[in-house]
Amino acid sequence: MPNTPRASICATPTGLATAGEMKKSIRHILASLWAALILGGCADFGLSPPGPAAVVKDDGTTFIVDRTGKRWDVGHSSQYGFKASKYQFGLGPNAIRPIMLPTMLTPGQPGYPHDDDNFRVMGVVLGDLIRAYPIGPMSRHEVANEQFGQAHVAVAY
Amino acid sequence: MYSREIDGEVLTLAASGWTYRNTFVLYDHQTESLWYHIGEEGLTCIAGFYADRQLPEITSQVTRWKRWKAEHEGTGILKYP
Repeated sequence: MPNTPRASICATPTGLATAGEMKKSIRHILASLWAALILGGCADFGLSPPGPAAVVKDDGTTFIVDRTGKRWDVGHSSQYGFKASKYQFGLGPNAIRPIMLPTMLTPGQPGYPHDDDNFRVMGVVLGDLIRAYPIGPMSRHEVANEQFGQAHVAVAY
Repeated sequence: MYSREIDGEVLTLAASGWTYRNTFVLYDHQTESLWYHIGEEGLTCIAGFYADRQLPEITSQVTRWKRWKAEHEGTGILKYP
């Protein structure tokens, strides 16, 4: 097996995106790299590089195995054109923890940003509720499990 | 942003740790079904208990705080950490 430099492994995850997915792909791969940093650096991928997923076929079912040893039955995803070996990273389900029922700051509260701050946010208007989610934290957590009034939603970046 | 309600249940969504075509594959804590953004439909369950079901997308906007605040005076913002 070639001895690929770890920096190269981190910088060049493989996989092709269609044009329609490109926008999401770019920001999601950045999030993926964030995840790598959260986990203590790219050296982690020295143990489990983002190459093809380990695929196990067992009694007619197709599993992919992540770095925690957890098996995921992905056979059905072939109906969407997914190939089991094309899944990548396999960091395990606890590597990137979602934000749960986040607290909002409202105007005038300590910590509320200045009007002319220029960081990126994901903004949502739902019913009479208006909320913004800074991209930085969203990139680190990927999902915020949120509630807007009676509506349960997932803010995903 | 997506609804996380299905058949009267509320799902908790999270990153599965897998990516596909450089996009995160999400999963739900309740059934460990895998969810992926396909087309304009929102999240589609590509494998697991909810296979072929969908969680509809809810409109959101990626912009700069300065602009968002100017257009939405009373907006809340995520308290973090």
